[in-house]
Amino acid sequence: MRRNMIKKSCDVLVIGSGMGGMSSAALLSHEGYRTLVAERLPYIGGRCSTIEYKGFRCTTGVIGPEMGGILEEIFHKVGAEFDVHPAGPPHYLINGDICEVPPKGGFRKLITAATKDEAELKRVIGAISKALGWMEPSGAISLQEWLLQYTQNESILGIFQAMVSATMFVNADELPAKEFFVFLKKMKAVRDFGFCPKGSIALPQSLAQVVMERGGEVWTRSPVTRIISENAIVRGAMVNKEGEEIEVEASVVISNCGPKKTVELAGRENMDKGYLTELEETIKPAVVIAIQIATDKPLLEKNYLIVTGARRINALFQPTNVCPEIAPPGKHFLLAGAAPASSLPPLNVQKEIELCLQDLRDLLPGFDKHAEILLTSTFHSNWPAMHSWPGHDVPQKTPIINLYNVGDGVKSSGMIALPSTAESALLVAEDVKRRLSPGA
Amino acid sequence: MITVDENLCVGCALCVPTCPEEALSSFGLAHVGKSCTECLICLEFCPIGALREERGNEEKHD
Repeated sequence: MRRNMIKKSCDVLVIGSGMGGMSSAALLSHEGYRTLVAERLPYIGGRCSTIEYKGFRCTTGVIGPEMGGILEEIFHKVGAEFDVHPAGPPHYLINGDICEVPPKGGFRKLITAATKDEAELKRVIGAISKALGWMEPSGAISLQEWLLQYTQNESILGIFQAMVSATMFVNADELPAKEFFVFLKKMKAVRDFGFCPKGSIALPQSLAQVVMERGGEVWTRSPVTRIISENAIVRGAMVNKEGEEIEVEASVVISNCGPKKTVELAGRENMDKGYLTELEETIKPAVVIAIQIATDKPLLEKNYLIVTGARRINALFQPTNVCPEIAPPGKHFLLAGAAPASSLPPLNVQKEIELCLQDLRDLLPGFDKHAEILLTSTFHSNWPAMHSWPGHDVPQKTPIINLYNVGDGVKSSGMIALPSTAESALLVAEDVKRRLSPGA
Repeated sequence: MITVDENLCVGCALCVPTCPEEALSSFGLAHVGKSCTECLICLEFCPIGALREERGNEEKHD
């Protein structure tokens, strides 16, 4: 027998508790909107969360949140604790030597470490200065194509490949040249970031606390099964809360589950044809390989290192240098990030991981003796590093009125990863505030 | 038994820490080992629903 449908109403329903979802929920709760977050998984945070494993605070994705930027601004704005400890200055491994990047003149220092040819140095630095100070290069060519106009030096090309693949999650030959320079101007290559002593989950938990203190709710184990709309206006969604079907009426629905999943939930038939075409042509999931490692002694001198010239590894992080709480007493935690040769499918994941392991043995003396691999994680397809490559995003608004997307598939130009999700949340929250009052 | 949908699994390895029997491993793709007791805890932790409970069919895990 069919039971009576349980109904609930709120001003704003947020689908997914990733950092885009939690940031928008906290911002709107803070402004007085009755907000409900529905998360499918048993924990909040999505790819910015923590899973305990063998006594280590392993990450579900995020390793180093940006500091001093839009993400931190949101936390301050809503009065949430931002417990992130600075990772310190960036270092690059170039031709076997470690090079510290100063706050100013970073490119000059890096390129000087890669070439003794003064004319080449002048050519490359001149091109970078022009791109930053006068006009960005066209987005019609890749960063790699742009660089090849000024140098063929493998070590210099390797610096850009490592920088881009470690921070923007695409290869230099996949990134529109313009996008790189917008990124440098907007985010300063994410120079300042840190580690969370309680694990990345501390960030969404802190925002969830704001939502709940303001009378909102955060449900876990509660997948949204359908977004409801009428005459191209959103009305709410069906939520399966721990096995119980609930119709949630909402004036605004904000989806943090990726633009393609949003369409699936709302129904393709309710979407504009042009939007669907744009979605298919634009969205390209970003790929990352992350290897989480336990060690019985520190294997990395620095807190983190951008690695140039390796087969696949582009970054090494040792957060326990700054936050020993991440590992059990006497142990250390190391995370290696890598990019495959191509971000486009098909991806030979096993081969890519093998190349990463070869890199780790070369890069870290004593790796086999002192290290134990905890988790080898690949992020791509439906659970990607970012829902789309930089410069390959769709708008935050959807063709259904009051249905928005937030997250790293609807980024602004030059934004990446966590800051991009935070910014998308801020833009959506501002649009909601402009258009609808709480309780409307 | 628990099976892995190889078309969906991305190898994120988030299932691995959830198994009380340490029956799960991941190297580009999740793998369910012999010590699996079918407690089903891993199913709800998979972010894309690639782990499934199969009943009464011929599929095996090794």
